Amino acid sequence: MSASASPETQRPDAVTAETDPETQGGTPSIRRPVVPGLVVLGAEGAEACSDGSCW
Amino acid sequence: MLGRELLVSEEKSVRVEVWSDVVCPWCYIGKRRLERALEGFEHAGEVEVEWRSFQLDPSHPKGVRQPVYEALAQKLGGSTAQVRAMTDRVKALAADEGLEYDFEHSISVNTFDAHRLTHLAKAHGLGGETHERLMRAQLIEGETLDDVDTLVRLGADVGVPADEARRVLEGDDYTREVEEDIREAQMLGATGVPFFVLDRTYGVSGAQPVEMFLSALRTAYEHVDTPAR
Repeated sequence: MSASASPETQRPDAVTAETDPETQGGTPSIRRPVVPGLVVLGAEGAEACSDGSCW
Repeated sequence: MLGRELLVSEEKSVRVEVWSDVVCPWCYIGKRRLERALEGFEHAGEVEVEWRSFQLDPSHPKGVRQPVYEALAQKLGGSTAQVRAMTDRVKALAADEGLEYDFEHSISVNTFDAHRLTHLAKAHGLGGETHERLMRAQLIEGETLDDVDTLVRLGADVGVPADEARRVLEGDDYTREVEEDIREAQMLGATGVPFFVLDRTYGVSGAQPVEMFLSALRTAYEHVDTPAR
């Protein structure tokens, strides 16, 4: 029995992902995000730490 | 202060996942700003916040401890005086959020075990409290976050059973969970932390202004069209 949401109930802009059929009875494990991925909110360049550096 | 891990939802719920490292000064600032946004969010009771693991420097050798300023000077090739000047801005912005960073006494360590402790804490519903406690310990109190006794004590401060914490930290429990968190952040496109994901739909990168977090929460809430999980 598949636990996947029907196309009708899925938000059009939601992240879609391939799921592992072995885990469909529970929480699907996401293998990879599919384009377009996350909708990015907020300005680019907000302060963050990356590549081991924060400065 | 956010201690909530799981909140009971009535009809809707917004799930906020935050990838963060305990040594990340912008993450603590981002945490405070998210909390302030939640204070102003009319549906805050329907928001679930989950802290996820990320390592800023996974290559930092385990067991190596070095004063933060010294480590930065070595890494960036400047003097400790130059490094101190570089940190002035983040210290000032942290102070605006009520966080008195003390980099003079901060110690650079590998944070993997601190994240394993946080996953144990999550199993007890104490993930948010533990992440908060560890960030305070690292950035304000100058604690050494790869020391087992220290981690056990800090966990106990927020209710994580000490005997269980010691057993986990002396073994390798929750290794897979930490690795999975980091892998998932990369999959979602995170290039730095803090990295906020709302309902696996909206991404917010960095310590954005409070108003931005509030706007993101409202956007996510308005687009919840399925019953609470």
